Amino acid sequence: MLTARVLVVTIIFFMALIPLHVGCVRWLVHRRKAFSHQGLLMGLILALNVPLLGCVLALCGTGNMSDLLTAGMYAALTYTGLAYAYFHLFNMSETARRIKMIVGMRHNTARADDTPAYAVPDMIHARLERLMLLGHIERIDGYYVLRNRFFVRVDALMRAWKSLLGIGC
Amino acid sequence: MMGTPLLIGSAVFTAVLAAHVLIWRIAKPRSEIIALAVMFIIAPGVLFLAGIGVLSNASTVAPIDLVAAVVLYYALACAYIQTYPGFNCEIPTFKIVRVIAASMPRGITYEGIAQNFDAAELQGSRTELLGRDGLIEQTADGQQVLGFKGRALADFFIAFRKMYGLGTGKG
Repeated sequence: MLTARVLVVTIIFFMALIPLHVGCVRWLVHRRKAFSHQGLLMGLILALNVPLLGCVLALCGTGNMSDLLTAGMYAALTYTGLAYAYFHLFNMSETARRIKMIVGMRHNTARADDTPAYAVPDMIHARLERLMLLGHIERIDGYYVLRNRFFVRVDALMRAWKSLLGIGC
Repeated sequence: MMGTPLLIGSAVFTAVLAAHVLIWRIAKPRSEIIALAVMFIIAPGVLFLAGIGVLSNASTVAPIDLVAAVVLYYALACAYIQTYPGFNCEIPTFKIVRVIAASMPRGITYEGIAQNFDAAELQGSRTELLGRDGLIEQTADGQQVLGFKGRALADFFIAFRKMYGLGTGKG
């Protein structure tokens, strides 16, 4: 049955993403390569869509075009949704100030309001470094310049959604 | 053939999202984590279980289509719930990008970016949220320490980072 097969293939691809990502990160860390952790994961997520759609195409081989389109959309949407949730979990472990704060408290039993890990200069430097590794900004003669407007657009979208939800901050 | 799970999964997600917008605009829940879990995970789960029960006696939708719809729905719901914390606070990376974008074409120095950040404001809002979500609690002498949920979450992320051979994230 096509639905069951497409569902199983989609879940297998999502399950395969995690060990593949762990392996890539471990390998790059072992080789002491400077790389964007978020960029690597985003690249893997997008790249795996290609063989996934190839598998769906193979499964629908004898079906009609409408089946192929809906099966492809279903697989891509489900896989990307699951992979995006995984991306956020990984990103949270990397960038979330709340997580850094509670991990810092767990390690040294510091109080919430005096965790040293929270220094603003560190926080800005870490983000500038990540943005440069991602190729979104560049530093020229001491000045940071924008190289990619992707985050500007995402920020605008998020602000619009926040305003729809009535959240102001 | 796959149109049914695609339609059911995305329609349920759109309906829950619309209800979420409506509820948040009328009265934003105090504990957002619990409210989001109920709205996006528990309530639709009950709905889907009831749907499977009803459909087992009818032949309108095949059970496998409903299972596929459930998987699609939860993939979308998980993606949204994971994105949600970003709506609650200013995301520093986006703020930095906004500041740099506003300074173009010349660009901006580190000091210029740093002027836009206030340590007390950043830390204060996070401490408040940690308390609201029950991750930290106040001791009798007024100190803020990790609660049970906070310790469990911290242990999870320490183990999670170890799996990749990485240390604590830079925040």
